[in-house]
Amino acid sequence: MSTMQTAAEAGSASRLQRLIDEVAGFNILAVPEARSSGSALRATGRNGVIGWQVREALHRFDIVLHPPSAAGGMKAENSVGESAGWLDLRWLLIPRDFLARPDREPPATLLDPERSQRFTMQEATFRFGDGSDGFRSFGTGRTFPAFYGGGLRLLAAAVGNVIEGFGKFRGHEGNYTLCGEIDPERGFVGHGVVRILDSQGNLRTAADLPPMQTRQSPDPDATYLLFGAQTGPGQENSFSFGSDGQIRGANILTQLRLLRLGFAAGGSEGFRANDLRIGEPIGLEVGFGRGSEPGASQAGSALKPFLFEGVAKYTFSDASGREIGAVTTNVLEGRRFDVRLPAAPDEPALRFGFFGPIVLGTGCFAGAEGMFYGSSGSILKPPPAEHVITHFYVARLHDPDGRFRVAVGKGEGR
Amino acid sequence: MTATRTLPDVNSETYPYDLVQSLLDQTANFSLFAAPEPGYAQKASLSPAAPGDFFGLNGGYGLAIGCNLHRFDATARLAGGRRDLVVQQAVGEPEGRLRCRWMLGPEDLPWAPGGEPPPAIFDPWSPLRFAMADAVFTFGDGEHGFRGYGVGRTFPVVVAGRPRILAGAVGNLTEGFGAFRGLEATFVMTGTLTKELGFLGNITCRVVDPAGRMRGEEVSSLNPILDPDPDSTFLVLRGEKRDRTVKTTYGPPPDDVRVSLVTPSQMRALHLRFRGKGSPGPRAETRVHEVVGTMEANVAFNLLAPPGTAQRPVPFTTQELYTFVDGRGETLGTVTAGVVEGISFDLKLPAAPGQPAVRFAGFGPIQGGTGVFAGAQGLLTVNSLIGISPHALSLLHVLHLVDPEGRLRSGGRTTRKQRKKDEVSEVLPKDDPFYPLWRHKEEYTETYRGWRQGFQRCSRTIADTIAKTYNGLLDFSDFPGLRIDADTLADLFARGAGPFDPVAFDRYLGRARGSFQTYELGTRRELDSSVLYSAWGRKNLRFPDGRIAKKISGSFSGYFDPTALPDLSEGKVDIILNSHRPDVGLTSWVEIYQGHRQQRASFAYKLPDPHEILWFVKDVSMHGQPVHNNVFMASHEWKGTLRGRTCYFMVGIFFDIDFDACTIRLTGDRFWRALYEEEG
Repeated sequence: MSTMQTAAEAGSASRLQRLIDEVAGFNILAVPEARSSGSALRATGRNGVIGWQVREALHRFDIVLHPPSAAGGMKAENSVGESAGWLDLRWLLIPRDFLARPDREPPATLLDPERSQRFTMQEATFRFGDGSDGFRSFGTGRTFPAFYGGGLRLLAAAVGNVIEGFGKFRGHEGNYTLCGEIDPERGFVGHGVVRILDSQGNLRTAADLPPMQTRQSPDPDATYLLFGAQTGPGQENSFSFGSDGQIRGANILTQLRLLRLGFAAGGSEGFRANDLRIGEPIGLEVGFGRGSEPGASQAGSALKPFLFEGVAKYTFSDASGREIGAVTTNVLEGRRFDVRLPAAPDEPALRFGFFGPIVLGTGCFAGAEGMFYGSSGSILKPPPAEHVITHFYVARLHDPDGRFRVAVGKGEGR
Repeated sequence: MTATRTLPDVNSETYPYDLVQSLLDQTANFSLFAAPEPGYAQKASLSPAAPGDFFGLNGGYGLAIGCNLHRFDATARLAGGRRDLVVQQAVGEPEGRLRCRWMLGPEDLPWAPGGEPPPAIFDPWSPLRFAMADAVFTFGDGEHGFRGYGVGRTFPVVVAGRPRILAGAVGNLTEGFGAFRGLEATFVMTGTLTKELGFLGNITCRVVDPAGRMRGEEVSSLNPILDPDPDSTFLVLRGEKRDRTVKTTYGPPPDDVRVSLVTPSQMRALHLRFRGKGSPGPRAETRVHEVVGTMEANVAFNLLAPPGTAQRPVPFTTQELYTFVDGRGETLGTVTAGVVEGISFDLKLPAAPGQPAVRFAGFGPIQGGTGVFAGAQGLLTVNSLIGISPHALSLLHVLHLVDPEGRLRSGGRTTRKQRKKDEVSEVLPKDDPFYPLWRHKEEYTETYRGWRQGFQRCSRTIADTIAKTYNGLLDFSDFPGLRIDADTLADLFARGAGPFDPVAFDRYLGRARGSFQTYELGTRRELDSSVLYSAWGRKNLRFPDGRIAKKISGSFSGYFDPTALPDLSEGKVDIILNSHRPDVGLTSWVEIYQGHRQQRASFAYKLPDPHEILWFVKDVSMHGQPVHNNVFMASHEWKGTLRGRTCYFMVGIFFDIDFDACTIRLTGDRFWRALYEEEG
């Protein structure tokens, strides 16, 4: 927010922020259904996996990030709740340069667990409750071999876009980002952060959600940290110029904040999510972003999203402003979609999802390994104009020793 | 170039073959081991001139590399009854530094000194090319070194189920200073990217040195440190023709422009030593040993291109087959590798004007192996000089083998590790409460060195402030002060780790009672007082690597024999391990259990008075969380008499020291004084 901002502009920014935040944002944890087996797809006449087709249970999942502190570092409670729906997925590995579209079936591509490979989410249908609410989606992702626990494991992250909603989701657009681990024979175990536009408010409730029926995590070696980010006081974007004087991207600042998301899907009410609960500031993001394809159109559609990439450093501080730790992360794949806000149709609104690795951790994150991803909404004008944005950020940390995890119900000083 | 082109006879002798060979060998060959400079990656920027431009975030569109350059021995030998090939490898003391920026770019990234490539984001799973910008190599105290430019590439690989990122680079000296002024050189790098975004590996630098400015004298052997890269084995080889009768031939040309030269060579074991410190400047020594194998190389390049220059080198690639033999001439195994990124430069030989010659260097992946090299993975670097007509060869090749099991290391990995463990356990058993302190000190080797280097770089500034501050507190009456001379202190800081001083090291033998008073810095008002009971072990521990260590305990409740401690978790006593090792000097590690958990690492300088020491103590962790700040507690300690008794005096003051900016300032609002009296 520029220091020269007028009251009218501030009011406008506040209104736009409210419109951007009219979304159903929620976490899910996807786990292959117990009766699912042999999910791997194999090419005819070839020995090797080319993808996965599996039904996964969608569990409620709560991430409560504790405020950073010198004594506790950065920790979160991760609670897995009851199954609240299911996900039918068909993921197919694709060549690196394959132009993925929902209407194109990719060529058979063999899995190489020692290489990072792209895949399409050719089918990803989310159903909640009794199955009457949900959406079909399409997206792309990547596998990432990682050496965890003395062995090679296959991580995966993907950005999906809603193609068609049904039940309560009919007419809604939105996107999500998944991140977890692939068991080549069983399927995907991991988290998704979903952001569905909800200007009408039929997906959200101000009422309390029923308590979760918690259970043991099927993903015990990972800890998920969820937090939000919005443009903070005095923060304004700027252009970054290359040595040739040309614009090479944008410098972006945001204020990191606590964030809670939640949903439930049982009973007569069907699917409903909480309004976003954005809490106190906990740090600062400084980042650089740019389009991944030089000269590409700035427009992003379901068939041709705008692709972006970038680097960002997230620095977390305690209440006194003392730095607790920081992570630097690279967005290797970002997919952005244009949005028309009914209440502000002329504003250049966007929604996007992204993922990439944590490349460096310092302070309480020293030595941390994992992935960083998110789903976001924004109104983005060329710098230094106002930047309205809300990110749902998630760090999935390899954490077999529970360094970043608080046992549920054992909050420190809470 | 077409099929009708006329190719020169590369074997004809413009000058006699043996003369050309001897001139090509007139290089100072530096084989360095680069280890990440502690803390550098966390602070460094890719765009230091524009700190507000977040394009410069380290790890995004490039890597800011800061390395300590260590002495390095990696010598292949035919050893044992069967005279098998083994590598004796050791990393020694740091005697130089490298700083550069690896700016990632597209696959067709051009050679462009002074420029920056179109950006590409760091993807740990994808091979990427980079330009090596603003490379500065320095040796000794920084007065000798050179600037350079180069290009490189990352190679993500999976070895034994474990993903790693290897990196190779090749570069050219663009401007030398000190002993390197006016010289030409080529350097190559092969190593591993660490999790902390550092480079860990080997650098060879060949300096064309016809006047013998940096070679021709014996270089002392290194003082080995704990191996910072136990997963890598470096096979350092000298390639040459067996004699002048060995002819180079043309192979099938790879395309219409390039030719293919087929050059059979014999490969000898090579022992390279260097020192970066000492007068009158860096020195390199080359010892050529026995033949360990042969190499068939197929080199593709444009023979008729204009001679390569710093701005426009001539590129080349190679395909190579190494065949290694044991002492009986039987094949041990083969390695196939190829240079994918090679650059060559015109080379003038002053003693043979008109003799065409080239210096060239490059790197590429190891593609496979057989026999003892079955499944080999890693990188090859070449750093060579050749004549053309005659085609004499002076090749320096390094096969960087990712070798987590130490198959090629002398003694093997497991045995070597086990041996070190066994040797240490004889001195300090694993269940000894001081064992973790020793381990922490080993792990902190690079940190200790980094701190000492910071004090070397900023010796004048730090010494002035320390001396001024301490000398301003001499007028206390509880015990007499001891003035610190700023010039002497600066000199001591600049010298680095000092020699072992047995008198200071054993300044206590037994029990001593310390009365501590804490004062407010501004008013000198006493804030707090306490009594600490210290017990020093009478026996020093002597470790195989030369470390001499002493156990010490400290408690507010009474004396505890450091060899018979209570359960530390009871919080009754803190323990300290002081030690001296030549490469890091006098250091200490403190584990605090009283009140709260805390860890401290410290290092010291021996000052002129017989028992005078100046410690710098850094909090490492508090309540189990790492401490990240630049605060060092200085503790000036000396011996004297008070009221007829021998006493030990200490004064502690807190400073914030930024080694990058070379700034030091007082921090906190207090200081403390302590009076120790020996109690037998």
